[in-house]
Amino acid sequence: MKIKKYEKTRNYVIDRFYGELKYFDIEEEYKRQANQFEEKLDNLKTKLEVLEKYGRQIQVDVEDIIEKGFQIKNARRGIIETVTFSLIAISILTLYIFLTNALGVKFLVASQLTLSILLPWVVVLFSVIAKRKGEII
Amino acid sequence: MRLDELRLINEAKRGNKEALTRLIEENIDILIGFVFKMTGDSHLSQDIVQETLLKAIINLDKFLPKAKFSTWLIKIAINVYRDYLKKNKKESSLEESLKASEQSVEESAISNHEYSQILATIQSLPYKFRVVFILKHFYGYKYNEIAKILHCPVGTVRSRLHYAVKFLIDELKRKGILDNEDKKI
Repeated sequence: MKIKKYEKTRNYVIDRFYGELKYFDIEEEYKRQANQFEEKLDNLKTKLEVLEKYGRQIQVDVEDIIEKGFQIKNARRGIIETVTFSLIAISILTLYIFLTNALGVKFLVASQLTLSILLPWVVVLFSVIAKRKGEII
Repeated sequence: MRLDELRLINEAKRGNKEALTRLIEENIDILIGFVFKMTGDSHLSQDIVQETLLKAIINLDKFLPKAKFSTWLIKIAINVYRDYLKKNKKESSLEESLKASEQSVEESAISNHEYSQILATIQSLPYKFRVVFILKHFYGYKYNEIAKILHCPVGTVRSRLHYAVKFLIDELKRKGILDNEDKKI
C-alpha cells in the first residue's frame, strides 16, 4: 500500500514538473520524498540539456529533396491523368457501342453528322476561351 | 499557427518552391533534433529526415493547418522511423538496442563521454516510451497533443512518460551520472 502511494506521489510530481498538474495534496509522510524526487527531475533536466548542444552534424540538401519531391509529384500526376483519360475514353466508346446496338445504325449516322457539324464550333469556342485566359494571365 | 507560416504553406501548396524551401528551412532544426534524439545515430537520422521531407513535399496538399507544420513533420518522422524499426526489427531486445545505440554513438566520434552515456540511455528506452518522453521533455507537447500524434489515449501517454522518467533516473543513477550531481548538492 505504502509503495503504491509513493509511486502515485512520484507520478503526480512528474505531472506537475511537466506542467500538466498545477496542484496536488501530498501526505505529510511523503513530502520529503516528493521534494527529493523533484530535485532528481531538476538534475535530469540539467543533464539532458547536453543533448541540445551536440548532434547537429546532420546535413540535408533541402533543395535537392524539393526537386525530387516535385519530380515524384509530377510523375504521379501524369499517371493519374493518363488513367483518367483512358477511363473516360473507354466509357464514351462503350456507351457509343451500346447505344448503336440499342438504337440501330441510324443513331450512328445521326450522331456522326451532329458531331461533324458541332465539333468545329466547339473547337473554335474553346480556342477563344483559351486565348482570353492567356491574355488575362 | 503563425500567419507567416500559414502564408508560406498556402504558397507552397500552389507550387511555389521558394516558399516551400523557406518553410522547410524554418522547421528543419526541430525535425533533425527530434529524429537524432530518437535514433541516436547521425546516418540513420539523415535518412529518416530525408524520407520525412520527401513524404511531406509529396503530401503537402493533404496538410491541414490545424497544427504547426513542425508537428506534422514530427508525425511523419515518427511513422517513417516506426516503419524502419518494423523492417529492421530493431526492437528485438532492450539489451540489443542499448548495445547498438552505444556503438552508434561511439561511431559518431563525439568525445563527450557523458553525452554518449545519456544518449545511449535514452536509446535504451523502448520506442513507445522514448517517443513520449522526447515529445514531452524536449518539445513541451501537452499530453493530449502527444496522444493525438501517436493515436493513443491520454492515460497511456501519461503512464508511458512516468515509466520513461523513472527509468532514465534509475539508469543514469546506475551509470553514476545523476548520483554525481546529487553529491555536488
